[in-house]
Amino acid sequence: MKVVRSKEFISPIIILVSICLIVSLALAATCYAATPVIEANALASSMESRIRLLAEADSFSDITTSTPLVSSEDGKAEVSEVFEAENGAGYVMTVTTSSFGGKLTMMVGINSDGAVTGVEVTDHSDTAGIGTKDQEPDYLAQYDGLSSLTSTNVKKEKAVTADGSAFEYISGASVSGSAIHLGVYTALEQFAAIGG
Amino acid sequence: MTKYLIIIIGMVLVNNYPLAQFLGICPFLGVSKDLDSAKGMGLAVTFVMVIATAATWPIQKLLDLFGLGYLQTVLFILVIAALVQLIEMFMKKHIPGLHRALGIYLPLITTNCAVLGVCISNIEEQYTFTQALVNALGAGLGFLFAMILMAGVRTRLEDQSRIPAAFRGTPIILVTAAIMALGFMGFGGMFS
Amino acid sequence: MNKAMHRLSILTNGLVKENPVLILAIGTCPTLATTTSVMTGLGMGLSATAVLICSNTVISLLRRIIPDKVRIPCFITVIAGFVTIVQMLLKAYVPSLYDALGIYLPLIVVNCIILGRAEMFACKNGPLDSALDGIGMGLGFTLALVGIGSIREFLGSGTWCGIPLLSRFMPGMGILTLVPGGFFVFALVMAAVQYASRKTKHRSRKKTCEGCAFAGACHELPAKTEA
Repeated sequence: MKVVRSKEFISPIIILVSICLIVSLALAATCYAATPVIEANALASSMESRIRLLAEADSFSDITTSTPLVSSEDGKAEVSEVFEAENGAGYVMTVTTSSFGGKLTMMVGINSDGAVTGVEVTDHSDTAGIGTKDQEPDYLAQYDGLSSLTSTNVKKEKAVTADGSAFEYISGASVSGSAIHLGVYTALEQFAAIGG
Repeated sequence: MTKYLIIIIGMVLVNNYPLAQFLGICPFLGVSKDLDSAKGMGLAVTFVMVIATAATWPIQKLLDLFGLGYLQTVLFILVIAALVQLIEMFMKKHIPGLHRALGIYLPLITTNCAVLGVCISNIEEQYTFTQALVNALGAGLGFLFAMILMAGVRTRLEDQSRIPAAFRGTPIILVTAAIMALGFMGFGGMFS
Repeated sequence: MNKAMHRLSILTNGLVKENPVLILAIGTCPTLATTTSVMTGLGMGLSATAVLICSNTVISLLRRIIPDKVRIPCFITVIAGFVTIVQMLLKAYVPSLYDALGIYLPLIVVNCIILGRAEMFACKNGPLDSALDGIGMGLGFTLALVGIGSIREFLGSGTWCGIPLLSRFMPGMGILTLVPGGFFVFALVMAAVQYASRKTKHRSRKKTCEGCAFAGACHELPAKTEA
């Protein structure tokens, strides 16, 4: 009886478990080989974004650990990385805020005069086409050249954009628009905190 | 509370799995022949989605803790497969009524991409545990909703003699799905 | 000679006669989701082909060791392993494709084509035949995806593989790259296949889930609903 049992139950279990183990080992090996490349990619692409946002800068140094990081009053937006241009052209901050679909990560470039040089959304979990209109370059370009925002609420924003027109938010697309606005606001506060 | 409501309505209408995200298309086309089987399949998927999320979300936290994120796919699918088996055995023994209603759909669910899809997207959206459960419930209800709508339309398509021969069978169902998806696109502007 | 012919027929089987997407109508989710452009369709097709060839070969090698009882979990583990490897390699070396395929990349695991071929072919045939079957089925899948992707990209965005063609003269019909367009183009392609197979008196298969591992359970459905 016992012998039959072992044949029926134990050997399938042993085989299944050993297949699982072999697969896990193979995955661990691939992961070990692929991780450095993935990390290098991520680093290179975020460096590229930084250069795009602050064109005058030549290279950046990470001053995140030596800087007290700022977050918005409601705690929704917080600065997670601060990079300083080595030639003193300004800073690029990475800000994470919360939008409709979840976390939204963006980068804000600010030059040494305290004016925004560029805003870019690097990672978001909103559905494409819904709530992503205010991540398009045309909309984000409105922030360029602004050195202060009058309100943390995008709908009450009174700032005048660089070309002299009033700031326009996209109606009906307010959640991620608000998140981005709060993110830019927080980045500017961070700039003030650094004392730039 | 509003956050949860937004997740549910968003998953049922805006991001409906079969009609807006192309997840769970196989059962959506295959098991929507009549209202009863559509309901059964939809309920079974909803049920498994919620339970699978409850099981896989803590597993992911555990994997993250040990830096074993790469085992996600392997473990998730194995857990779902085991879970479906367990649920079926449990139902058969203790809730025979429910087993009669949902039982035959359960084995099909292991390879349903909507179930694995909801587990993975819960992790990618960085939802909390409750949000993940609500999201799974919403995804399931959205699937059920789409199944029932499709079954309703398909009862009208039973007489295929007036459909051009080349379109009989799967193509006409796909055309129906296209029109339904067009309708669901209208919900797109609800929240953004 | 005869053996070579047999091998050739295994290879071409998946391309035309049993094309997984167009004839068997399985693997519809990735077909609809990743055919918004030619390149994403091609990427999806080749990723799935790579997984299919590897899993078919390995499962065929293990076919005498794997006990019948835990067959499906063993297959799933092997397939999921290869999917994760492809996923990590794409993330490392083709990050743009990794982002474009998104959640559909890990979902190759539950692609009926792969588990279906393991169940129907690899566990009954030798490794070489299984690999050939994987190549044929995978390329059939890729071909269908590239075809549907071409139609959607050409009419929807006016480009082909990113090369502007139609878009020089008129704006694309954007709806075709969206969800309804996906269903509609797939419907037209399926209808065209049905039309062609009627013309050539080639009998297409009726059961849509024939290639699926759970076809057995699936076939209980009509019986149940009639009762």
